[in-house]
Amino acid sequence: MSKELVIISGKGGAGKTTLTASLACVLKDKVIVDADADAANMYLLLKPQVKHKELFKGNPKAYIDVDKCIKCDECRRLCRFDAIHINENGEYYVDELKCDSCELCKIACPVGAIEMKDVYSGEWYESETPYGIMVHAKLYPGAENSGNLVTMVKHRAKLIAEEKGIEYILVDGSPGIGCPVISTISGAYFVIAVAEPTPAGIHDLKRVKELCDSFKVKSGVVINKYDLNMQKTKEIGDFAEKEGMPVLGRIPFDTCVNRAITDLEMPYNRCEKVKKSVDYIFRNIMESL
Amino acid sequence: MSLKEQIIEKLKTVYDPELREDVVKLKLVYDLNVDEENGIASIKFRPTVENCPVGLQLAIAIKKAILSVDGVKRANVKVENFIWAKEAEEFLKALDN
Repeated sequence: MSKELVIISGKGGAGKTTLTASLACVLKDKVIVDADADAANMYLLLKPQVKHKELFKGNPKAYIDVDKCIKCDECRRLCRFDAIHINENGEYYVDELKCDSCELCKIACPVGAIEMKDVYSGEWYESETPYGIMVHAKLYPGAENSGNLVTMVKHRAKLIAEEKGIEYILVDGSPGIGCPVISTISGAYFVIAVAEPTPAGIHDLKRVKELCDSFKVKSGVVINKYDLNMQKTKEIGDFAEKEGMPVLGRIPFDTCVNRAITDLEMPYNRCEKVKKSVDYIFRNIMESL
Repeated sequence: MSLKEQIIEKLKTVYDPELREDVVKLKLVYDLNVDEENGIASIKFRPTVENCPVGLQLAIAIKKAILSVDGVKRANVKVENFIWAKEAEEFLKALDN
């Protein structure tokens, strides 16, 4: 059974994707997963060649057959999401973006004029990169349910890892602690929380730790841009120690990273300070497993 | 069509409600063995994640689907990688008559 190493952070912009991409340079035997379906961007650094693509079905949406509809107004009256309206021709229709797929209108319709229609909410891909196989996804604008899409990409990665006897699955998660993150850490073997030395960084690290504990998943912390605020970095270290959470390493602030990313290059390959830190972090991760 | 092929076709009607794909395509079911003569099928099932909230319902739906195939007298469903695997298997016993 392959081991899922999941990288998350309580907030966006803490350096999660950059760290995941860097670890992809170091960890050889792995499948890479970009589970940040809402804002997938690791492809910019890993430059995947798509080998397999599939559409992903989101929740079905209600659809009114105007020929059957007798305009009794029952559906519009009952809909709690304000999704059913009347157009200029006096016909009832469903606003797909508002429809929550609850099917109440379909059940309530006295003449069976309402059906649920399959809707595609995104795409997922199996790709090859210079750093290994990558499974990633893209959620369409306005689409919801990224948690399910995250479950799908992780499941596909697990199947590939089993088939090819690959030991690790390296997962770049979404920021925050919402549904996609819960899907991301479900079944995780170890979580690497990326925190930056700011009040928000500390606050969100605590939330992430609480989430990991509730899922009984071991976790460690990486302090990114640690030298921007040594006092906050110490606070993170104290919190981690109190919580029995290993500090896996600290990455200094380095404008080389920004320049590398701007040039769509891998910071690990171009920034010596980052390379040294990530190598150290990688050793600590392996020891923590 | 052999019993095994009929069972596979029937299992394609069992959907994971979250991923909206069938359990065969998702490879949630595997190691299907069928004693064609005596109508005994055995299969393994695992949900996408070990704490899947609909794991039990899926296990029941899989067993019912297999039992609904003409000629199948017994269906043994082994549940793996699921934190409530034991409990699920207890439930499944109730479907044996």
